[in-house]
Amino acid sequence: MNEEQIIRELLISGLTDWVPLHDVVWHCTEGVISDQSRNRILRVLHRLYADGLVVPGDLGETGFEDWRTSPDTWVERSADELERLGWQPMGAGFWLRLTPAGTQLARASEEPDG
Amino acid sequence: MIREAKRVAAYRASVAAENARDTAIRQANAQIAASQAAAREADRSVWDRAVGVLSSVVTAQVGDSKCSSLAGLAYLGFSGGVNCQYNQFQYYDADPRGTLGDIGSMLKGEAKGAIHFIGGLSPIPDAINTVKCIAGGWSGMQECVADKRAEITQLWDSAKDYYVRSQHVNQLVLQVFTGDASVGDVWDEGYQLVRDYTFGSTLDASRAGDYDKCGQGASATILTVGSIVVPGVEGVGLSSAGLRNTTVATNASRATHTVVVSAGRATEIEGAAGVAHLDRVAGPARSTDLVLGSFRALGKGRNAHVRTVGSVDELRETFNAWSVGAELLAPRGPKITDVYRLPDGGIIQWRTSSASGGPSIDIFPVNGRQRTVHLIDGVQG
Repeated sequence: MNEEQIIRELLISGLTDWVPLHDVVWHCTEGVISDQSRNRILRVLHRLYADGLVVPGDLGETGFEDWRTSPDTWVERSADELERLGWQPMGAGFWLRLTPAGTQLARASEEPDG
Repeated sequence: MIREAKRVAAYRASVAAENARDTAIRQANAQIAASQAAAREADRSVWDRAVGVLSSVVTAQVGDSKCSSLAGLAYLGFSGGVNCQYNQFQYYDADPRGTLGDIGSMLKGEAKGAIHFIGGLSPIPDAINTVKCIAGGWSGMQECVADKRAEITQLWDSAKDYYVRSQHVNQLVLQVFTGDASVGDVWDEGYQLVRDYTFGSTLDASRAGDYDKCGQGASATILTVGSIVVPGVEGVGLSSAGLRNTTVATNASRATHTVVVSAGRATEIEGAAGVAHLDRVAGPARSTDLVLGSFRALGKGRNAHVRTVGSVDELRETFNAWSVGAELLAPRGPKITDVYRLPDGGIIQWRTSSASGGPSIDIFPVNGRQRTVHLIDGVQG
């Protein structure tokens, strides 16, 4: 999958439920962790954040709790968390929720002609 | 006088000899009888002995239910003839569901604590037909009517002798209904422990997390598979005959059953006596592939990586089945309360909230994307 396809896949998944970090890693690496695939993960996350399609967060007491820090810091924070998890989160780490813009794009992507 | 004395002595001697001979004959006869009894005992099949053990279970566990002695049920159950060594199509060909439906009717309303066991038969057509006829004789029974027991027992004895002699009995199934649902409801829904095995496979392959096919498309998941312990007889007992204690949950959330199934052809049980201990025991952990195989059998969700079930109870039963024997990890926050690592590194976790509403099960394979099980649309968590 190219990065466009990965973003599309993640957004469509997000229509059903929050997207786990595991899926971002899997789609970007397909099980092969390398410098190249790590960079790919961060590029995809950057695009999702920068385009305002998703918000990262943690599953806390109230449910999905958005990261309250500036979006400018999200990629770096994501990288730190991935590093902590050895780039194999397996269900651990943060999750992604769709923004209205992300939801709109995901629905458009779902349609055959979209 | 001397001559008379000698004659009396000779007479007494002959009587004594005769008595001794009679004693020897009686002793010999007694030895022969004992030997024959021992031989008969030795010849008793695993079925006979297991019936004895399980009958005591029936008596002990049925307690204060309406049928205080369910010995007849053992015989009734025999008619079920579930044979897990063959695939379900053969099973249904051989033993129409109507037979088991009668059993369900009889037990309806007395499910909790009720016990019966079912003997499997090799699917020899005429043998199955015989059993079916026996079952037909009981179809009108609505409860454990005392005057029917003699009839049942007689039928059982004749059938049992035939099958044991013919070496057709090859397994034993004990079902302990521990749920609140009535058995009638369960049977009516087609719940039957019919494994979707390929031809010739045996219950040795039974594993927790397996997904069993049921009568009318309903399904059941094996929760645990373990051994049967007979207290006071260490190292022997039902387990030595290949019997397994399997806890099964219907995916329709109707009831939980503890089912003892045998693995393949039964062998002799030595020293099996007393009451079988039927506590749950943990089985071996599943691989991610097995979990995913079970996952794929669930209802389809919105996306390919999503499956659905009908209730929180059903979701939890599914999770419990998949996590049996797996390594318990620390919770991942307040919303991810139960996390298990499978032997191959895959992770399954219980998430108490999801974007779609209720709880969910997340599966994270080492080599693959996440799969999720949600509640079907409209069901509140």
